[in-house]
Amino acid sequence: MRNDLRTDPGAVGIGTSRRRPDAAAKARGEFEFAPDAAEPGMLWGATLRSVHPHARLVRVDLNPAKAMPGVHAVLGGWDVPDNRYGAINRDTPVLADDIVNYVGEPIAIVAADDPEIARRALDAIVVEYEVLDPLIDMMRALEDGHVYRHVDYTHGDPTVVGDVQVEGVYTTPRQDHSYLGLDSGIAKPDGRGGVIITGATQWVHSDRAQVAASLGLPPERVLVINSGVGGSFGGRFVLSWQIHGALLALHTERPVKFLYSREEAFLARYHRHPTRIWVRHHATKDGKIVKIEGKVIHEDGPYSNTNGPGIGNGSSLLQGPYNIPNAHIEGWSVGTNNGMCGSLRGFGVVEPMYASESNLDALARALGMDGAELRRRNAMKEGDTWTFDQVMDSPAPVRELIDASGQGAQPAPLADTASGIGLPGGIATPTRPRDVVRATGTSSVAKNVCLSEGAPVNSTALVTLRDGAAVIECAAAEVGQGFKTIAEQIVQTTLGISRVTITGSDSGMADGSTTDGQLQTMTSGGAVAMAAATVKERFLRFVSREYGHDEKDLDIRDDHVVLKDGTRLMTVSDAGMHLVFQATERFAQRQTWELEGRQPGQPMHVTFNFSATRCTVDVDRELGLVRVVHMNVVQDVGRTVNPAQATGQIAGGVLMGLGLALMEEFPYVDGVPTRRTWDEYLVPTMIDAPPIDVAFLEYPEPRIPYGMRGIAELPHVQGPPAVMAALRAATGLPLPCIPATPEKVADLHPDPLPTGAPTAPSNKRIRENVESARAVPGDPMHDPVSPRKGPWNP
Amino acid sequence: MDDERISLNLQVNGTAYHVDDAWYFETLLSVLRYRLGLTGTKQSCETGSCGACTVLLDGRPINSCVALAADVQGNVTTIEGYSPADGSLTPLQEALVAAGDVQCGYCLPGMVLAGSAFIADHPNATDDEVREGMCGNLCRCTAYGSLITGIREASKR
Repeated sequence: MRNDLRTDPGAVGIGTSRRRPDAAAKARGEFEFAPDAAEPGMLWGATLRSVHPHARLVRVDLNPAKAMPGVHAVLGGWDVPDNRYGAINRDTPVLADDIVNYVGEPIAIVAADDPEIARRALDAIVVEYEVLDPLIDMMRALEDGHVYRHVDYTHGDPTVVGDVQVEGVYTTPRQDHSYLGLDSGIAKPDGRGGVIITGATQWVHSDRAQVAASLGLPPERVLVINSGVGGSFGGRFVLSWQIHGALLALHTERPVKFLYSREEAFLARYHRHPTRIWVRHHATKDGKIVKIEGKVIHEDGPYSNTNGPGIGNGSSLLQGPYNIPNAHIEGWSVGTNNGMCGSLRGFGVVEPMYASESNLDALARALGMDGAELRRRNAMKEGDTWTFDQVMDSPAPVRELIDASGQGAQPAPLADTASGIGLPGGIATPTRPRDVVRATGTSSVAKNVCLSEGAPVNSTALVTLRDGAAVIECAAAEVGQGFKTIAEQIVQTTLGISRVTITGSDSGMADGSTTDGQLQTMTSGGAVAMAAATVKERFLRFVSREYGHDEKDLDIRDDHVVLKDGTRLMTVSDAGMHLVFQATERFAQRQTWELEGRQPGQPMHVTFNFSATRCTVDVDRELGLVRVVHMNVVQDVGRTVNPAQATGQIAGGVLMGLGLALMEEFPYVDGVPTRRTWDEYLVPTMIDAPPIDVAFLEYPEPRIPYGMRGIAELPHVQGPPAVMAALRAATGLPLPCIPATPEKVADLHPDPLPTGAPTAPSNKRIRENVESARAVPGDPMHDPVSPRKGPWNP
Repeated sequence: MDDERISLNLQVNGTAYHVDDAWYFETLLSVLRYRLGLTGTKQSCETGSCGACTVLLDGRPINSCVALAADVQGNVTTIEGYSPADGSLTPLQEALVAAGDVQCGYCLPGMVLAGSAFIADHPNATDDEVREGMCGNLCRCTAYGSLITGIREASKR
């Protein structure tokens, strides 16, 4: 456990809680986020969006809008040189041409003097729709063959049968990123036929390629500059306004600003895919898991765009952090008219990990075994083989994590006098202390780190040392996660100096990879470390030559050139004689291959990370109100670069997971989203957030400078199963569907409450509730599915 | 359209502003950000749900995204007016950035202003008092731990 989480702007090097370089500017309101930017002569863009989930565009008349004073351009799909885009699959229209496939799909764009005039111009556009039946049920989509990707693999002997079998169907909802910083930016002509796009993004180079392709421009005519990013969480990977802005800027020859409203962000942007997952564990009577079977369905929206890797991740990692010798797993990514889906923190892994951990809760009950003990007995370790035939060739201290999560401080018992926010339900709760059941649960999870299945994962950094100070140039996107801070720390430690800064990020620099898949610390961080090491080598060679020391005797410490015994010779600044020492290095992660069809020894994923959590909840069973009291999270981070930041990433990710477990859901009814504000789509507040203790293990990641490992997605994967394990222990209910809102948790005819250790389950109730996963009345996410023949019901 | 435009007078950070040609339905947030250029006040939910747009009106926190600019009477303090002119941080701002991780920081100006009003009313606040008093300010990056700690420490008398 790290204790010093206070940030210090003067802290130097790896292992300290160096303060973010932009912290003071953010606290003073001076930091410029994308929505804050302005340009002289700027116009405002706005987007006309489909109101139907599926319709033919019979007529689109832009002329009434074009005739309005203050309107400078109105464009439709026919104005786009190449009207498709997509970060992975270019199958998404920039502007709809003759069909719309979801509510919120862009149809036309305008540029006007003022945002209000732009909105009125949208109202003036005439659209005649021929409404078509929307496809709104993922099971129907599967039956009808609307499948983007199907995977099917076995491991070991798939015919093995266990003494004990436990199965369940689990569902997870559509989740919104809900970052606070609205989607925004400015596109402007560069005066030479090209365009400059400044806005919030995760990967400037991917954006540039997509914008250039749709505009029919060579890539060098498009410059993408990252601005201040107000959160991302995987939500700025797919383009939103950028191509629209570029089109309008080139048509009007003026800067054009887009700023989505919160409602528009809900409608226009993609969300975490809803899933239905069937899992069956086979185990021996003493709790050794001998086989896992699974069928994973991702509902991936009307266009594939970025969705292929999600089902690859999900199907491969359904096994969780356990050594399971035999498996048969199938997965489908299917299309519907229920809005765009894509990556959200823990892409494709949050859902299967929730499902398999939930099924382990049920297996533990069936075996009459403590959930933590069941997990301990099956914990993966280094050298084991994953079900997708990849040897776990880096640390996997799963058992140690589970044990550590069970230690640490316990929350204080619920006081008889507790009231208000000390109880489930919060400020005005009707719950009384005597209504409350407290229980704990343990969960352990794994996540792949870096992009997988053959995606290129590499980054380049340039480090310049001059007058004793270093400047880092790396295009890796800073979205709030803290890359800039740790890049400075890595260079401080590598070069032995304290004065280090990092520049902004744009597509004119070398590619800095995407801020995705918890990959930047160990990828761009690796590039930064390598470049700094090369600069150090060049600098010391120069010092050796100029000052007559043997190069092998020299080092740099505390801003001084020193002999290996520590004797200070001179400052780095003086020694450098105002010369410039510079190096560019590229760091590439090892190659990976697609899930199916790999040869032996070809990895599917670059590497993995692991955590375990003990969660404590208070529940009012009658009212279904839940208060998460405390969480104890232990994660193997490889090397703690910045304890305050690592703690913040892990605790923040776990809280997002808590939100998904208990409240977050973006439902569609008949293809229309029903929640468009944060009064309807709930995210955790200060009252929902429990104290979260975070502890680290530090088993170094092989092949990575300093042994660093990515950390930021796994906590979101960890949140839901941890909360639900505790909630199941408190209620005895299987609770297969998240979010576990009060109407699902409330039990009007409760059995006697479980006491002590979880007892063997019962009974028919589990079966009934597993059944209920197939049909939750009144819940649009889980519309009834009759047993049909097909891959889902073999 | 001209009859939908109005003139406004606002007192912001001790300065009297006269704004011409505002829409009659414009919010205080819109006028501050897009007519006065005071973009430290953040736009996010536009329904009064998240607190990112918090400003002080005669010392009390309000959500400027749901305040009609034409209705505003009194002295408005934004984060630009609250922050020390010499570029330093107030004890509350310092406590918030020292207590742990700032991440994207989009919530921070609103958190600072709401927090300043909260600690004025709650000397030596407990964690639970901070949770209850500040629950109108959302943060999506952190688990609020550092924010609660920072506000609690800044409330010490």
